[in-house]
Amino acid sequence: MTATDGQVEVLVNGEVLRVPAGSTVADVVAGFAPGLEPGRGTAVALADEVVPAGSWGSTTVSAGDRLEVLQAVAGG
Amino acid sequence: MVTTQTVAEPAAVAGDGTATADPFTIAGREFTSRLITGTGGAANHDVLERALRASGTELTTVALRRVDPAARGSLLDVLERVGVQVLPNTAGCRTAREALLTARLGREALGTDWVKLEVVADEETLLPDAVELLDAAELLVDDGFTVLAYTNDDPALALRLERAGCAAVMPLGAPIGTGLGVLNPHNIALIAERAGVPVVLDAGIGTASDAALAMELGCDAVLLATAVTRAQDPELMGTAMRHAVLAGRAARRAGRIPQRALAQASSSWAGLAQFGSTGSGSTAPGEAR
Repeated sequence: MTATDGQVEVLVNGEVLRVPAGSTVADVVAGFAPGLEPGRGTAVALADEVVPAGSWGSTTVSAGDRLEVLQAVAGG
Repeated sequence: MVTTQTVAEPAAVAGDGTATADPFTIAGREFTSRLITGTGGAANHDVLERALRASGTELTTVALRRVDPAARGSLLDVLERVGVQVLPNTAGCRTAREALLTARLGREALGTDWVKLEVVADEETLLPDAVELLDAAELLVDDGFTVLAYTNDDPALALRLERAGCAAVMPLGAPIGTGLGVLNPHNIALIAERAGVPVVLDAGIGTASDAALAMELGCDAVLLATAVTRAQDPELMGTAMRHAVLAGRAARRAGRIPQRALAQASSSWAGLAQFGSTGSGSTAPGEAR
């Protein structure tokens, strides 16, 4: 999973994404869905645990991590 | 599209006095409107906004789904403009574990401890999985959630959910999206009669009479979505549902007459005029039998 060019592969909403090693959740989200703000109807799960909005910038991802980036949509 | 001229002013309803003085409370939060809405099924945000406004709802559900980077327009902007409280749901969850994680993500995304708990058994029926549902309810209550549990029209399960600490129990009238109405009025009435927490008829509503019936059976509120959002005129159906819930609730409070097998005259027999001397009219009705 760890590439030789200093990048790692993570799974974001089921898609493989290559990000620089040491990237934070905030980095990954910014790359995946530019403009998406923490809070404001969005939430992230990393390995089936909620990453609070205040921790996006301090939580680093590792090779093979699974992230779910979710938002409130019409339903129910 | 029929627009504002067909939508009654809210004052037309509030003016009768009984409608406004009859709030209900879930977990300490008071609501004037007894119509809770879902947001699914609308053609677009504009249609949804007008339908929600017409319905008079104060509480509305949203789902959590994977971010679509290409999506435009925020549902939350719409809900803020309408001024409704947002109720995240756990739609799509099949197990208690999934429901717990989804509820936690909803809490994070929307900043509320309230959750509409849905744990369904399969995609064909979307019927609640009673075992996983009760398990999930216990987990969520322990985790500090205010749980509004979508459940079967099962009086025994409704009581179990209440004992588990749910803030409201929400039995289905019929499977989600079917529009079949209230299939088991007896069970719904029994649930409402025995519950110590608010009972919200959730799912299956097809048209206004279904919502009115739910209220007449003793439910505290009605939750519906596609009956309005997928109606040919969602805004007008929103208005219809608002009136239906008010009418059904008022009828419940007013106390309906008992149902009878035979007619009971509303005009007095006393002082009835006697005409002629032959034919069926010659016998006073009171003596006919």
